[in-house]
Amino acid sequence: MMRNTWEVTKIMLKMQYSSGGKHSNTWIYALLAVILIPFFLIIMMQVFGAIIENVYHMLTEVNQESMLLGFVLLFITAILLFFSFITILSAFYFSDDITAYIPLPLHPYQLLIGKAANPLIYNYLISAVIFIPFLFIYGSISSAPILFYVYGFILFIFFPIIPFTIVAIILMFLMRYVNIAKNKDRSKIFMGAGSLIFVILVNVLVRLNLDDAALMSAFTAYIQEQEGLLKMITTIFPPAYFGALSLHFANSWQGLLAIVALLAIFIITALLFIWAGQRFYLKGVRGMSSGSKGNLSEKASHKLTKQRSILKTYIRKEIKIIIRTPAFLMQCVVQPLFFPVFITVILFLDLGEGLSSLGSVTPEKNLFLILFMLSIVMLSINATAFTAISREGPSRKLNLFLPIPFHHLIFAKLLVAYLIPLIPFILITFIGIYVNIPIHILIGWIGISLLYNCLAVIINFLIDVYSPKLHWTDEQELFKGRFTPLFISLGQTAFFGIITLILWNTNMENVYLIMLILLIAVAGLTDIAKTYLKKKITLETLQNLDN
Amino acid sequence: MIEIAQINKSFDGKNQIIEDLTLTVPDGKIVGFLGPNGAGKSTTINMMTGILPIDKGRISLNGIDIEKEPLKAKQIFGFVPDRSDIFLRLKGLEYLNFIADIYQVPEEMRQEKIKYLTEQFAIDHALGNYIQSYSHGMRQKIAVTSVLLHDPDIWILDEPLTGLDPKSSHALKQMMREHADKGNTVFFSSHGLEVVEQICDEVAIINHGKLLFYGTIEELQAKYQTDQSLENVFLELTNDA
Repeated sequence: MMRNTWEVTKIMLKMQYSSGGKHSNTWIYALLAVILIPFFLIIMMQVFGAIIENVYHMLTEVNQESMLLGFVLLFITAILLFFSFITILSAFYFSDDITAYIPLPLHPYQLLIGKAANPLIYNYLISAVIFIPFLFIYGSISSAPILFYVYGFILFIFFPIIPFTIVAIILMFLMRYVNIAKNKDRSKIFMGAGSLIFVILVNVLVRLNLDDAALMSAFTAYIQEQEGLLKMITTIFPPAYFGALSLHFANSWQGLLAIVALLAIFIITALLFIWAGQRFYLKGVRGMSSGSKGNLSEKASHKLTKQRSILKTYIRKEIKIIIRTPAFLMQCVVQPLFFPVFITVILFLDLGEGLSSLGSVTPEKNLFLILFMLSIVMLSINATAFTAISREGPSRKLNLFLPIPFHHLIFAKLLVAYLIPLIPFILITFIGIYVNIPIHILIGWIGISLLYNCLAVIINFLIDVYSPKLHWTDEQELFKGRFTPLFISLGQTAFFGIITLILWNTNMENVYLIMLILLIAVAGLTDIAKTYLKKKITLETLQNLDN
Repeated sequence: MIEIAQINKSFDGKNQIIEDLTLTVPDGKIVGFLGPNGAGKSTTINMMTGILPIDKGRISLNGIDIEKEPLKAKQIFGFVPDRSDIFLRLKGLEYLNFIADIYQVPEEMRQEKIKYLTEQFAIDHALGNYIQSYSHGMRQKIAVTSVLLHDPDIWILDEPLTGLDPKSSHALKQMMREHADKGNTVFFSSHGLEVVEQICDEVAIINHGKLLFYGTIEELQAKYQTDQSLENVFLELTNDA
């Protein structure tokens, strides 16, 4: 039984991570990882190390330093809950490859474990980025014993699975009932995104309705109690409490008890996950969308057979396919929307008042540079562009034998990739207006961001042309195991980050001059990228993609 | 007319997949393209349709070079690829309209043709459904319909009859005959030797990227001095595969 589960997991992972083509880019990844990871780690350690140390010393004064451990575990939990919604929906429900496994003599829970492997890898990566540096910083500040690191390791292994299983159980339960709808794809997307928005809304409402006075009196009561603050913040998620306690009392029997309690919670949630999987999973995945009525009325038929120009029809086709394919919709459209939603949530939370006046109190130059970097982070990775060619999969041959002018083809793909990221960007702009960003800064920022979006689209498009993933069997594979876009995005962030840092630290205070410098830099790079694209990417490039 | 003149293709620069292949497919004929798996049939068809670049040699369709004037050449032929899993997220009618737009088929004409052809292939009841929900045969039918929509002079069909039910298969064979009889060209690859024997005016057999035979079935039998079935001659010819 275990052997079968392992085999299925292995195959599923292989399908997600194999390049499918002949080119292996492992060495590029390794090289980029060697350069970029230490770069970001050093920045993180520097920025967060100081903050953690300050907070730690502040809390030791009141003997409540365990709260810091609880807070970080809660923070990781929140992020993992958030990402698990996306990764579970994508892997469990928007991936058609499950139909290939259903006829095999396997239990639903075995398929589920296989399916869970990839999202869990993401959970581990996310928690590694936050938890491991924190563990070492906290350990060195508090002169922690060796058992602290041992428990830290156990936590690292088991803790990320708990939020994952909780989200999975909820989604499996919901999807089992959604799957009876006619348009299954669409209803699954609505249900998935809807449940996530619901969670965020509940969070916002709870925070907004908190009575400040009651909170203060609870705070004073808790602060007098041993590990009181830890208890206070972790009541909503006990695994964080036990996790923090195990680290805090690593050297005593209390720590051992706490880690045992955490493992017990892990076993319970894991068993529940398997039970729910066995009961609900397949009921939620079987069946597919068949579209509207097969027979079309005369009127509907005429509407669907209107003549359009080649360019227009190709753009419409691109958009339709993105919107109708759950994996594409999720990764290209919905996922980038989470970032502005996240910021909106933060605005409505405790920091709300501070942030809403951000626009008016921050020096103009600094404000513009912050906004510029925000655009780089948001726009530098563009899933629509880095899957522009690969998305076609088996249909890509049509691009070559149909009489579509090459420049129309490329333009349609670039235009769609340009327009989709503008949706979250517009949302962010509204937030910008809400936080009272001066109008001249806003206009300058929008202008430079729109130009930078051109550059980002071309770069991401080129990534797809040079390392496409054409032989996929399931749309999800396009987004898994493709690290080049991520590295290139980090590279862009680092490049513009350095320019921003230099400008930040110069005496130049004139914001218009800063805008001009950045505009020249972005315009110059965009022009280079455009010239390169025009010169190097030809019909022959597309013809040779397979070879 | 399709003219293939001394074409060569290699994917790695060493092994020749197609070697000096020369073939002229005349107007008014149905020509079957035969060969064992891996013989180079799909590679040849991919070069004929502009999907793959040609290393050496020349292919022209009604006198237009596919490499030099690709857009013009692509207007002349209609192609049914071997894979039918394309544009699965479009509805049947949306796909047909997409193709009609690409070939700029006038609105009235496309509506008439879609009606006629989809009734012929009995898929008119499913045009509002996503292609994803179609069976293999239905996908094949929608692909064939899309080719016939713009009425190209040359039909290039890669395994067009695979998956079709007897009625649709019969209808397509009849359409192929009618199209050729009007002085047009039909070039199709097939694994079904019976079909080739039934409807082809001429056959081209390749193996290891080289043309082994081109002519009528009678000429083939005469050349090998046998009255054996096409299957036996084919097996004999490609025995070293």
